[in-house]
Amino acid sequence: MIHASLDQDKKAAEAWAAKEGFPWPTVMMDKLKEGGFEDYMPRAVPNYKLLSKDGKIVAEGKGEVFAKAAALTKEET
Amino acid sequence: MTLLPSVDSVSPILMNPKILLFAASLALIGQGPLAARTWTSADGSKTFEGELRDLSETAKTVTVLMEGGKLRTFKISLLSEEDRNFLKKEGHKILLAASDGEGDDNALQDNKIGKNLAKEGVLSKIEGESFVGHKLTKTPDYYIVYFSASW
Repeated sequence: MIHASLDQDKKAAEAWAAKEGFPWPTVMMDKLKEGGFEDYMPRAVPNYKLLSKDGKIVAEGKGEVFAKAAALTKEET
Repeated sequence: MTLLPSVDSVSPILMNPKILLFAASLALIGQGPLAARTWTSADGSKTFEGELRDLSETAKTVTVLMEGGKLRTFKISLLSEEDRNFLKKEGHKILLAASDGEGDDNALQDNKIGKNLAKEGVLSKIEGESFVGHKLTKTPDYYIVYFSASW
C-alpha cells in the first residue's frame, strides 16, 4: 500500500506517521503530481483506490478495494 | 475516528506478489528463491546459507531467509565487505527482478504507477521521527493507494 499524504504541513504528516508507526511508503503532498497521483485526488479523506500498474482505477472505497484485492489474491493462488 | 486499515483486514493479501501492500520489506516474504548465497560475518568467523529477501538502505538492514525457513533481519554492517559490496551492487536489482519474474528496467517502464513512484525523492518512509527517502523493491501489478491526512 502506498500512503498519499494530503497534509500540506510536512511536520504534521511526519508526527502523525511517527505516532501511528506507518509501515508503508508515503508520497508527500508536494510530490503527488510527480508521483503521478494528481489525477486520482479524492474529494474527501480517507480514501482508498486500487490502481492497476497502467493507472486504471480498479476499485475505490475501503470495502471495495480490499474485497477486490482479496479476489485478485484468490485468482493468483 | 479510525483512519487506518487494520493489519488483520488485509493480511491475506499481504503475501500476494502482484499487489503492493504495506512496507516493501514485508512484501517479499511469500516469494520463491531469490538470491541464495553463503553469507559471512564481518570478522569472517561465521558463515551461513540464506536467500536475500529484503534490503533497506535507510535502515541499513538486510533480511535473509535462513535455511530453516526463518526470516532474519540484521544490520548490514555485521556482514563481510564482500557481502556488503554484493548488496550494494546487486541487492536492489535482484529484489526487483524477483518481484514478478519479469524484473528488469523494461518491467518498470511498462508500469506507469511504478515508474512514477521510482522517481528520485517521490517516496519516503517514516524512520523514527522523520521521513527518509525510500525505494521500491517491487514492480507490482496493482497498488492500493491510501489518501489521508493528519487532520
